Amino acid sequence: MSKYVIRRVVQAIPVLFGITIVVYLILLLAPGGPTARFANNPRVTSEDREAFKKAWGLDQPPLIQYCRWMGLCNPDKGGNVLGVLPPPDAFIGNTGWPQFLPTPISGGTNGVLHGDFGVSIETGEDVGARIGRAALPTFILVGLAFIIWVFIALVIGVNAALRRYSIFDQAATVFAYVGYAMPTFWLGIMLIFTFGGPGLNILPVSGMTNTRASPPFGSDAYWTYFGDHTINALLDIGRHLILPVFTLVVVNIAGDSRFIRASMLEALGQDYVRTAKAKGLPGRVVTFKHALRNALLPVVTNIGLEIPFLFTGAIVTETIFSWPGIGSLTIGATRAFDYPTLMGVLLITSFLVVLANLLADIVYAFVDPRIKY
Amino acid sequence: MRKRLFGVLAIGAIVVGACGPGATTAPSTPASAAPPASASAPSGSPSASASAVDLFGTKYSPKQGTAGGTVIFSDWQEANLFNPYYFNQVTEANVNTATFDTLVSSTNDFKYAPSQATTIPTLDNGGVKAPGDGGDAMTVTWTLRDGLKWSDGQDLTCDDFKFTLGWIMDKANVGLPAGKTGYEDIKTIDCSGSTMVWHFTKVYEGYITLFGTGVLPKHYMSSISIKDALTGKGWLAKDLPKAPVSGPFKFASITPGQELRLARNDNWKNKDGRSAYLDTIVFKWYKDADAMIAGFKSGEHDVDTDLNDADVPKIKDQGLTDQSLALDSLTYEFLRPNWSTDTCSPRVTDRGKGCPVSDAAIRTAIKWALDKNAINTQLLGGNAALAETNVSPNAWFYVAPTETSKQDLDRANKALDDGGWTKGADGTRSKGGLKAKIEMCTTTRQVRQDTLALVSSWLKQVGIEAVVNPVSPDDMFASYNESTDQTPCALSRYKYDIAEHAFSVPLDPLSNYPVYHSSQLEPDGANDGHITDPDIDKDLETVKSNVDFAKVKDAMADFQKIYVEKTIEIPLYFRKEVYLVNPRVQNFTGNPTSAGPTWNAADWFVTGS
Amino acid sequence: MTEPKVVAGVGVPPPPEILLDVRNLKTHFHVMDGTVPAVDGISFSLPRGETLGIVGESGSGKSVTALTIMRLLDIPPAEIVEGEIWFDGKEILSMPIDRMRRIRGNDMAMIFQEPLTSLNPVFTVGDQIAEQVETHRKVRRKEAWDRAIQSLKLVGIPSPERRVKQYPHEMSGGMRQRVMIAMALSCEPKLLIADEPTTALDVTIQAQILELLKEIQDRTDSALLLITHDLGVVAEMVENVVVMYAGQIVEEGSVDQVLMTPRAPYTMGLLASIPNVHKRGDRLSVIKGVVPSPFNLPPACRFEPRCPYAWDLCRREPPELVAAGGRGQRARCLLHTPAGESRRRDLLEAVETLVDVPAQQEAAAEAAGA
Repeated sequence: MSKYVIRRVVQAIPVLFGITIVVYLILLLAPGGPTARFANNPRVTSEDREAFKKAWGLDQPPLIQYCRWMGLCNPDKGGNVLGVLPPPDAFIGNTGWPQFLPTPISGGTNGVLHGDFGVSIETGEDVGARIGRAALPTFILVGLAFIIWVFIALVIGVNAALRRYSIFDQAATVFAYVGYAMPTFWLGIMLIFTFGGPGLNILPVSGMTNTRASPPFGSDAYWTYFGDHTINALLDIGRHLILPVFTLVVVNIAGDSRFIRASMLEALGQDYVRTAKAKGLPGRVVTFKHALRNALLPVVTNIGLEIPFLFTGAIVTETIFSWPGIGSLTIGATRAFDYPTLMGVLLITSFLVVLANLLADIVYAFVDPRIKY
Repeated sequence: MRKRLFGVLAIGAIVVGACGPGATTAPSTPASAAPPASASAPSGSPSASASAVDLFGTKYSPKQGTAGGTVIFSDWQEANLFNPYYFNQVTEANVNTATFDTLVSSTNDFKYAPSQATTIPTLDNGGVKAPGDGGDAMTVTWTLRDGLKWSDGQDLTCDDFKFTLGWIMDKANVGLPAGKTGYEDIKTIDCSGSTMVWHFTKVYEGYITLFGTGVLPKHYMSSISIKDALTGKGWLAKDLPKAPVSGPFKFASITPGQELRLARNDNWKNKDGRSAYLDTIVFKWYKDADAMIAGFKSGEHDVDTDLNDADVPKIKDQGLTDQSLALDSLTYEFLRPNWSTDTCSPRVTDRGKGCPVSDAAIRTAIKWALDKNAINTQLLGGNAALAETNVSPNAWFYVAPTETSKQDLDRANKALDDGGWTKGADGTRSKGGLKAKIEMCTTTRQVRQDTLALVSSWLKQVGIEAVVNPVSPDDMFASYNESTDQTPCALSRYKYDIAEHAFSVPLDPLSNYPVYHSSQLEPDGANDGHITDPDIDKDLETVKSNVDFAKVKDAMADFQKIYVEKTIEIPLYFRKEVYLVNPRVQNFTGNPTSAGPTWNAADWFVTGS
Repeated sequence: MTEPKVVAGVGVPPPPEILLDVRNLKTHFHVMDGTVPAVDGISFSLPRGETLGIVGESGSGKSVTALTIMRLLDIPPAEIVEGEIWFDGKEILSMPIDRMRRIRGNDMAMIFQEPLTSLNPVFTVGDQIAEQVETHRKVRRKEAWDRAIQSLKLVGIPSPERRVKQYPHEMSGGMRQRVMIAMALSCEPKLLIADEPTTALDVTIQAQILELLKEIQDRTDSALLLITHDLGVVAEMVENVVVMYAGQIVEEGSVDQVLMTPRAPYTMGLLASIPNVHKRGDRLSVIKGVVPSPFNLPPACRFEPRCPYAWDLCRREPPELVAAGGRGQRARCLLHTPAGESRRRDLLEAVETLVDVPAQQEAAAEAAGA
């Protein structure tokens, strides 16, 4: 098992490496760029734009930009020079070891390989810090929604399979497809207009906290406030969570519940379920031990692969409910052509996808005795 | 969903592209604010119509307020940049205006009022000399108000201006959204106590608006290299609480993605020696305008900004009309004809060789064929202020046209007949083998498509066949370098016949120069209409080289006359700038100029709880 | 599993020595294209401790019969239209499913065809046997586990203490089928139903498993209902046999009678299609034609379109199961009615050429002895 895990991790390295190249290329190929913000501003001359690009290193050939962003090139040793290929020296870190080695060995501190995602062109902040700050709100929102929708999807999916073609099953099917087809932004706006100010006005419609009563979530003042008024703070966040969580649950329940239903139906049709019945086991044992356990095998993989979603979150939902998470950050960075932030988000997401795949495979080995690595 | 392009500021005119309904209203930032004005009768160089120039007589008079309280001020886009010379969005301009005081402020009634300065220097009052002293092309002398302080208690002095000029002009300092225009003409700044003298190498008409986003604190910024400053250093979220500011409010805390809190700056006093009334202003960021309006209705905040015409029906639906404030903005919606005789839409293939719109007869006919009133009543709920030129009636150099345009198909037909355009068997006119068949580009915004559909039906009645082509604003407004000859309707490539869009023009008449002067064609200029008219050029050159506002106004009067006569453009209406304001917030006036609604934040106070 | 359609008017119980008594059972399937009479009025009985084989081709209804007895069919689409099944003195079709559940795996156990898919892949074999014991015997986990080990030992699995902790995929096919048998035997059932227990196995393993089943059946008091398409297996394993075709019993009798002196043309056809050392070199005979569509069965005799002896009456008169050849052997064929008397000879002659000489002699001797 550990051998397998090591092998998979090693295999993931070229994959991640490839991802960085693809992600970089996609951004380079996208029309516009960080200077697009000046596009219609006659006061910013083309010389200004060029100088701006130069200041951010965007004038360098893509290879050098990439090399620097990755932390493969040492800016102190010629990693700055123009040219199609950096000179060999550029790859040597300050300690004489290759620049791509971990910081303590190479001495390098810039670049993704050294844990530095660079500085946001949009705000000048450290990209790692931006992402870190946005991660917690997203994790709270999507994590909670995830738990709820997986649980509900299980209940719906299993029951629909057990009572195939019943009224319940038909209703669940209709609900699933309606939820699946529902545009997130439409649902979000409808919820806001129903439960927010324009309607019943019983639920907050934006952000994580009540601006009038509480410091903004995540600030130092907030944690002090949280310590002093824990109950109120939790209730406040809870109230703000209701609508966005509901939105996410409704639109995401469909896929998983259909998947679980199909998986459960398949399991129920298996010979070993007939055997279990033939053994005279009570119905619930047949269903929940023999059928469900097997039905959950593919579900585990499926859910494992949804884990990166906890990070990338729900771009549309976060936007509508002004939730200060990764989704909002991504939208903002995209509009601003904030390459470093976008690269950071995309890379971390890709990393999580690879990790989730690996985790799903490992977990699968635990739940399915037939799989041995 | 809205897409927010960056607004740009500055004297430069701003294309209001926009895709979504309200998208991109161009922000005007204080920098661009305005024009200089010359006060009444010019001394040095007298000018006949000078008495008509009124730049300073603001009628703004706030109510007496009480101290304390919080106002939550919302925008659907977040402010990220706080260095007064790097920000480029409307919302950032609003934060800037609340946190930075300026020599002169732009009032809600389009006037200039001295703020950090005791008076505004003009030719009349001797503050401006052109030619200036000691070989200067122009010399401007300011007197700073006594007791100006930074929020950290340090004195704010002429040295800060001197430092800021040097900082702006540093070669390494690039990407300033307001550019270096004007600053580059200042040779030196001399300081002597509260007197500050600017020595210009050229006459610069826009001197009043220089440093229009505030001066930088020398004692804070001098330790930050330009290279670091470019990455925002000194004005990043973590720096803000200690960053010295000069306005009525200072930064208290910022939580990116959520909100920005400003606290009263007790080191700021207005002319009467009073600090701001409010304890706190919270800028709360939404990500979507509809959600923001719903949040207002929920009572989550007190003020909504950055709304426009498209939001008016929503506001009405929510029963919030009595809490809304709609001002005519400086953004006008218009049909832009392409004057180029050889480059126009390549998509109309069956009309023969040539560009019909470059013929004045066609432009004139379009002007008389369309019915702005019908557009207003049918599509805009009758709320719009119709436009005759690109100049806002509120601008100090505005001259009312002698004739208001209205639909007159006879005149349209006559213009075409006189121009030699004869009707063919199919009802479409032609001249010398060129058919009067044109393409009208616009963005995918619905109201624009509807407008052009109406225009198309009117044009048909006079024998012009027009097809409407809605394209992505990203294509239509792509800059020269970001587009190709194949980019549909790209204005910068002159590959269009007629384009409907909006443009935000700051109050400074000089802003017309890059848009209408024949030397400013693409790819280097912003003359996207390919306007090459010697008379227009002459007027704009006068504007550019004069600091006598009476002369400027005369030149602009001529500009406006030619604009109408030669159908430079076909303006439709001025857009609205819309706010939602809780009645508990007092003295909120809004401000369609570049200063923005926070221009008088120091006077805001709240009643009740 | 849903409650079966209540069978109106349950008849009288069979005598106590009869363990299983199936009476006029009709199991139909309602599917999209119509109704399939998978089992269409069959009756047979199995005395305690004895063995009975049900033989037929795929689709003849033999497996459905077994599943109906176990009440393992999904209702719908299945429907038990008519009939009674008496097991151990009780009518089980009208029994509440919960009581039936207590019989299943306990008094009546079943071995399925495909041991790989019939065992749950995610539980150890020990767990799967023990849970059955726990359910029916109300014993502790430990005891149930010991019982599982004993069962494995009983079916000849070496080192059962180790095997008991293994998962099905860790075992060979024959071993898995032994596990299935061990599982079925774990509660010492009165009736063991084996549905094609060896079909999925290698030939050498088949023999071992059959040997095991036989040995077990001898050693315990279980009755065995063996369902197979393989006449060879039947010959080895059971005392009595019923032959099914298209949902009906076409012939029944002792193994010797049916195999040596078949009286239904279908049975003859089946026997003729078995490869036989005595017929080496001959062309293997097959029954001409195909099994009729269940939606479109022949109106009278269901075998008529394929039957070499059929005449016009066979298309008009549905045959009954009638005595044929004496001593309890019965066949569903008009040849054995007075109307077919004149044609019966052809059939009997064919039987004589079909069955090999030693067997013939044996049969003759037996007939003489009786």
